[in-house]
Amino acid sequence: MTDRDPLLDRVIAELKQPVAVDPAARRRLLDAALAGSRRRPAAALLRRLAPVAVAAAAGIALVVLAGPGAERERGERWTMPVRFALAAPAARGVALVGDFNDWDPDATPLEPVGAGDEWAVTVRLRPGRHAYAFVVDGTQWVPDPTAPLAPDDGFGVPSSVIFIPERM
Amino acid sequence: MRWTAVALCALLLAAAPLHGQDRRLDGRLDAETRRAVLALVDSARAAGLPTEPLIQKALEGESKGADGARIIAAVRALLDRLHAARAALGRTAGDAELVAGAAALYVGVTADRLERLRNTNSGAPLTLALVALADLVQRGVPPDTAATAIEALARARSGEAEYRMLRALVDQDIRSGAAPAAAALERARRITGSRSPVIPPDEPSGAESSASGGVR
Repeated sequence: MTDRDPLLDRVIAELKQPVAVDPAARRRLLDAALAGSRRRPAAALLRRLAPVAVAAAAGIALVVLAGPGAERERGERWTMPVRFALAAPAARGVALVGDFNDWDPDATPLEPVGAGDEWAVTVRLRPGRHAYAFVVDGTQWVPDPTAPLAPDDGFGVPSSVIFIPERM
Repeated sequence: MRWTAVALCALLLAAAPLHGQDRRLDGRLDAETRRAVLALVDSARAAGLPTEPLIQKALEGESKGADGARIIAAVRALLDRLHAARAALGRTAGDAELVAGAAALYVGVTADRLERLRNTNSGAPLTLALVALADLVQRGVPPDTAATAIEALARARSGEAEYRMLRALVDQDIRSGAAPAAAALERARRITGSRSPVIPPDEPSGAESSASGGVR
């Protein structure tokens, strides 16, 4: 036997005593435990309904992916700001049209820059090949003189191409 | 299981009609044109081809004032070229590559040259090369010569800057009076740092003199 400090012996003895629990706290613990067991039927019901829920989720996903604009939804990736500019000193208005705004002349107007010789707008584009053009004064279609040409597919009006790589 | 099957069937039936729709075409195309375009879109979807370029082609035509017959013809032609582009570029080609390949086919590049370019390309995105290729042809460079110039850049693992430089310099040379073919080959040679001229494999070596002398 080793000689131990009597104080240390008293501390050990105290720690060995069972912890006194407040009766109210004990009741709350018991209630909580019982409530957990009472929830089991609900959990079982959920398990039975799970296939239906999964089927519903699959159906919703199907509608989202197969419906209109599905490619657009799947293609949601990072976008890159691109500044489009055109020198058109005599123009009253310039719009940007392309496959990123459904070729809508009202969607993306350019703003005059400085003295108004140049018109510009910045749009965010997803990676990929984009065809576009400028529409001056609502009637005159102008390809971007600084960009590669897009083939004219028989519409008689030229367009330009910009390519946004996946990583820049 | 029975409930699962019923739920799936109901949802599939509900989803099916959406295939033949795209609200973006409503109000932009007349009913007959819209029907024809959507049939082509469905055909593309069934073939596993991208459908968005077809929708955009139709919207582009409408925006440019084309009539319904022209729009349908353009969309149908694009679908045919997407098929051909995939045959040339392979089933792993991405949407942008297929559209760029279709554009190159439209301007007269052969499927064989597309396939060669795909096999040559190593490094930069193939779309970049295809866009540059179609651009050169539209500036007057013969398709085979343009393909040779672009293949040279692709072999040299060129990036966006090199392709942009090629386009700008060839355009400048043409405006200055150079022959488009000569300008393309000589500029490709200079950009890639090649000591020997870039010569189309099926052309006689005598073509090199005109290639090197055409650029100012």
